[in-house]
Amino acid sequence: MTGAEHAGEDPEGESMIARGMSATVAKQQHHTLRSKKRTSTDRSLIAKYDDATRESERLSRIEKDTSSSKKLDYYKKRAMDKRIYRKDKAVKAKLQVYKAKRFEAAVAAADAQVILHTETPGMLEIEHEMERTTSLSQVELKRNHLDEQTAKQIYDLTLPYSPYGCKFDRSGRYSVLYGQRGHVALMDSYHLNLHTEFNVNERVRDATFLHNFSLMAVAQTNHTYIYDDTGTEIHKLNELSDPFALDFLPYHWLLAGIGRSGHLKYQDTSTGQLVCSQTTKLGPCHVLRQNPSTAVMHLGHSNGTVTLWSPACSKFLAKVLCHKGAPIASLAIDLSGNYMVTGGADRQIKIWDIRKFQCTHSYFVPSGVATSLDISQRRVLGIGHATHTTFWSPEAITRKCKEPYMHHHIPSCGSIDTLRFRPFEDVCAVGHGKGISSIVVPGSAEPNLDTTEYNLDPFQDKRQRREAEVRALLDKLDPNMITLDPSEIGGIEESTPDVRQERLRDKQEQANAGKRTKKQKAKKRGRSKVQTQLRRKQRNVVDQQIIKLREAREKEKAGEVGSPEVRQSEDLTPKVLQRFI
Amino acid sequence: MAKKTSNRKMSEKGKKEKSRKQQTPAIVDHVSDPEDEEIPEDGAFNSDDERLYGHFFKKKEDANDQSSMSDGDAESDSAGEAEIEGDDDGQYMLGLLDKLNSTSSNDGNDVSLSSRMMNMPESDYSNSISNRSLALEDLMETLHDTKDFKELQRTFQKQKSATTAPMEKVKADRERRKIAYEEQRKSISSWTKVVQENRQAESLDFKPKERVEVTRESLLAKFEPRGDFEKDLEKALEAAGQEDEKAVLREEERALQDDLGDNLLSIEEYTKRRGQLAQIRALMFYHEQKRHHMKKIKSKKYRRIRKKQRERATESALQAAIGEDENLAKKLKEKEEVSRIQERMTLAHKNTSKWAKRILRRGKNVDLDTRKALSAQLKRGDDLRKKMLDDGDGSESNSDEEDIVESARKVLADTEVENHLLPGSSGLFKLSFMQKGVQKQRDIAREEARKLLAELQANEVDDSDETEEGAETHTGHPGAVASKAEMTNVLHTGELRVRALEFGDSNVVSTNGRIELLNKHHRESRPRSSLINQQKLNGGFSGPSGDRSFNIAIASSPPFQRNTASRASDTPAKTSTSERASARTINKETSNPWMGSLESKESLNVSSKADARTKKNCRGMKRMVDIDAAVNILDSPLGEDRVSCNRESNAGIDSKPGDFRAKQIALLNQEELVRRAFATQSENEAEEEFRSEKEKIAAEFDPTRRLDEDKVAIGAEGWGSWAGAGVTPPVPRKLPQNLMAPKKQKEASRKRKDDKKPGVIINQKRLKKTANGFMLGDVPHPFSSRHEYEQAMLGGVGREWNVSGAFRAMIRPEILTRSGKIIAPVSKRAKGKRAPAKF
Repeated sequence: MTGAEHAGEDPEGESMIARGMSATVAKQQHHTLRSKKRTSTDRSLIAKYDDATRESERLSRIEKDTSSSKKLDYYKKRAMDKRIYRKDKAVKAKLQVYKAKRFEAAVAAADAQVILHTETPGMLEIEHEMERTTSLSQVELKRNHLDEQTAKQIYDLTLPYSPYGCKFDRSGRYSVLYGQRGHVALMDSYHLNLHTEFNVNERVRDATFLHNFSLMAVAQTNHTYIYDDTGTEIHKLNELSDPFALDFLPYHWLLAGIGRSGHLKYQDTSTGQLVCSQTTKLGPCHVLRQNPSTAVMHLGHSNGTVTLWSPACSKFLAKVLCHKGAPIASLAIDLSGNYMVTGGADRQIKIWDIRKFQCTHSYFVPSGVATSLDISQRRVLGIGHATHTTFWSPEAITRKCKEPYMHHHIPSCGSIDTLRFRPFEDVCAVGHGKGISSIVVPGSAEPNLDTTEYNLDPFQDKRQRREAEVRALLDKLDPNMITLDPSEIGGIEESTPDVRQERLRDKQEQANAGKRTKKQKAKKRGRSKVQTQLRRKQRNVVDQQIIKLREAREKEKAGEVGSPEVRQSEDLTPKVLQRFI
Repeated sequence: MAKKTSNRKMSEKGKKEKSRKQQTPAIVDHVSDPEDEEIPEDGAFNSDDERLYGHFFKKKEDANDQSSMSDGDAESDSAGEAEIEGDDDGQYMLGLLDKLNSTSSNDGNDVSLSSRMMNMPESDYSNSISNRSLALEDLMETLHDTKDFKELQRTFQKQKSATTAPMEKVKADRERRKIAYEEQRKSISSWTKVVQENRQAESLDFKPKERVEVTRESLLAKFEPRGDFEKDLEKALEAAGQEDEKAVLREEERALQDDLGDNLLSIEEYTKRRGQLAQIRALMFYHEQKRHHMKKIKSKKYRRIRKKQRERATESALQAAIGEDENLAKKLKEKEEVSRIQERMTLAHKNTSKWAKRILRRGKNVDLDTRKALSAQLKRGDDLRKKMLDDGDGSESNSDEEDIVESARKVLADTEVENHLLPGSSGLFKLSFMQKGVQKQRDIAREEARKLLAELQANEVDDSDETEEGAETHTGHPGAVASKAEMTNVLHTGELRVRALEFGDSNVVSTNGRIELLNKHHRESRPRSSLINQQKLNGGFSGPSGDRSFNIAIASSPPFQRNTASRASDTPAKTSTSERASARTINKETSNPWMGSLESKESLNVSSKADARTKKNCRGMKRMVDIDAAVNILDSPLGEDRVSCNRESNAGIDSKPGDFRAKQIALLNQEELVRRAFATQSENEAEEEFRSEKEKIAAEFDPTRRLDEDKVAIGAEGWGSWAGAGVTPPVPRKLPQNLMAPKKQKEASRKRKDDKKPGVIINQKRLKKTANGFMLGDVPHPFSSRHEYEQAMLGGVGREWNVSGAFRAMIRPEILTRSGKIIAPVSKRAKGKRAPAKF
């Protein structure tokens, strides 16, 4: 059958084919969409969703990496240029289409946000220059400014097993309150109901929720235990012994803990295996926080350093000397994972840009050491120091501010143990020597929920919770995917000579790993020789000469010991006190 | 098969010919069969055929040989053949036989042909009859004398043109294809566009588009009333004349054209209508009013701007008024004064206020009242600060004792003053017994105070010079003094000579010049101290340690003790008191942490006979103070409260120390924290340790490092040469330049990411598990560069990152079909209908 015959079959051109978007059309469409007039807010919204603008910086860096044309000679440069310009047409077209689609998606997402984000965040604002937001007390806030539901969130719980700590689950609906003398309580923070409470009759150092409120890990005197929401003990984690601090990585399903021995341990809560155990070699550690965007664990040590850890590496990923000569008392990382805040015993609070590992600025704590730090979803920085809690506005993280945003004083409560912001609600829970205080910090939380993420919906029912659990399990990430820069995953490895050499070495090792080295036979020759046998017989015989030799040796020893004794005594003094001698 | 059999017959004929030539014409007749003509002669019996049927012929040949011997057989055979061929009439056959006999003798042509055939050997490569083409004329010649020859010839002449052989089918097909191809080639370019589009298309949608569009018209056209209700409705509509649109229109038109009075209004209707209109108007008016009112409601910002405008206007008006009337200016000044007083009251006891700063800037030119106000304010501030200090201090502290002295004195002074102006002005106190009672109580109090004072003073004299000085300086407040009159007021027991007063920015006033305080105790102690001084001078220098601790004492005491420093330089050695003093100062230090920074400055500022040595001491002492500062840093909540109060005294935060339990916690913490403070390193040590660790790690993870270098040190002393006692050291061999080994180029050490960051170590070891499992080593196939690949991988595709439409567009499959539906073949004219844009 020839083509001509076939053309006659479809005279009307009925078999219309939708072909999607061709490259030229995509280009046009992209152009028109881009050049469309928009308000600045719209533009910023679109930029927020457009990956291209967001990651253009990273891409340009990569390009700089690959085509560092300064160092290349003429021929190499020419070769490189050729390589760059010799582009596959099909790939180019596909990229064009993809680019246009992404931009379209960004515009659509920005439009959707306008509709879906019904709540707008707001902070306290002053009416005239003489006013200060710091002077607004919780009482006044409760009386005059808040609606009924929010005003309910300002309360104090006086509890007997103080000092108390508090942590929220990912949705912010439930909180676990743990008294250091053994009391653990699960509270519904929305209805203000007590869900469960029990006493473990042991010291409780930390507690954290696992993927949702139905399971929580509690760091007790000797071991870590897992309880369910009715208070039943589910597991006893022998590996996580002597724990001081716990944290849970929701996307990797890893429970991380560190304790007296200074070993950071990761336990997979879905399979129950101990994923890895890493030695910090820096002694007991109390400060453990996760970077919510990269899942890297940050540890604050008593020598003033902060180390960053991933299960993929047996050594730390980075080590930063944050507070010189002063232990790290507290640490917090913001939701974007770009900023870290550390509080040291030198009463300084330092803000770090983790991308550059650079201290951007610092604040001095007027009273006491910052015992607890937290950054809310919208980057309000909360500091618990002595009996005070001070809150700094989101700008205080990016640049130095003169005045704090809010302040709250809890008189005669000992020092504040933990300070935690509640997700999706402008509430901050403060655990201290007398119990728990809940206060309202306007503008601290994200007002709009992201329902596509698992276990984030505070109002989910049982079925939704179960489904989310399964889905989260299906989407569980490998522990080795945790790196300083998560965008590296799925990318191409850096290609410097050093890296290539290292890669080669790794490959060699991998190839040789299977080979078993030949075991040396443990055999001794000449054991049955006459000479050896005779010598063996003589071994334990003590005669005159031997006695003489022994005496001489002892004398020699005594003479030697006399002189180094002084040296030894010096050595015995601890290193830290040597400067006083 | 028919072809093959005839071939066989022909070849048979060739062989039989030498024996029986007469049979050939009959066979020729068969040759003219149209089917046989189709095969060219040379292709009729080729080598292939012979391979297949050759053996058959050989057998036949043998058989022929045999048959030639036995004639009878052959005859019967030929007779049989004759019977088959010519069965119509025997006459014809007989004629043929005669003919044969006659031609065999005279026709040379035929002979030559047959002889030629005979000469040709039959082999695999040649065919006996293939050399000459057999024409029809050749065959016809033999028939020319037969009966129907003419007729036959005529028919042949007629058909002369039809004798050209048609082309073989294969060839014809080939030709046909060629032509068709040429034709297609011209029109094929019209397909390129479609094909290209399809190839380049993002996806091809083969789903049939058979969706029927439902419109209102189509529904209306199809409508038929079904069911009782619908039928009833239809009937009712018909009855009303509104069964369809046209009918309705008709009705309306008729109503308009009706001029029989149906359109006119009755009076009731009119009134009703008017009422309605009035109501509407009233409503409209109300809303208009409301809107008018709403319009007047303005935002806060608007009000603020308006307010500013108004203020500016009034100000300008006032200025104008002042220009005209002087009384008004005076009044205004008074008003301002009042407001200033108010301000003073609210912003008491600080010289950091704007007002205080202005006065300070003016210096001595300020009038007396203002200065008084300022000094009072500062005094209050000092009092408060002192109060704070006292609160926290233990009862054993020195300052506390001094305070008792002072309070005792105050009580005495008060009672003396009040003696003159006794109460008794008010009602109940007028009664004599009441007055007596009061007097008695007062007397008792005074007596007690006197006793206490005496006792304390005695203690002080015994104690030491240092404490005396502390006490006496406490009585005076040089820092808070502004005027001489004020000074006398404050220092009722002493005298102060000030050369220059300098007001700083802080709430502490520093003096530049020598301050000399003289009072009774001082005068008493003066000779004593000078005596000690002499003694010590004679006895020589006591030693630096005592001196040092003493200086700390000075430094750590509150600022108004600064004059003691000058005294200290007068009497450099007070070893007797040094021990206690130092102990005390440490106590002070812990209780009063925020003085640290001040005091060192203060001690350095002292301008007196403070020689180089004191300065040195100060410097030496600084280290000690550092430790104290470290203690302070780790201060407990108890201390913190105080400091916060000091910092934000306006904020009105409760500065009272907590209850007993909290205090206990604080003390515990303090102890613990002090321990920890001593356990930690100093800044420098921490830095040093960190740097060494960094270097170690950089060396360890350097991939350019050679592994064997660590293990074996090649080229060690003694290798390759004689060694031992008495051996002359070997002269290093020197080769000419061109033979020397090339110098080893030193490899540049690996660049590290943390090179320029002193406080950071970044681990640059390759993350084996991550890199092997989740990263690519090279740019994958279709991409030419890393950049391209990254661009293609950019951004999220899933539901979590996109709205549903965009998500669907992102994951659109390449081919879309509907199962069970026919995929229509591609059409040249089919224009690509693009899927509607999704945004």
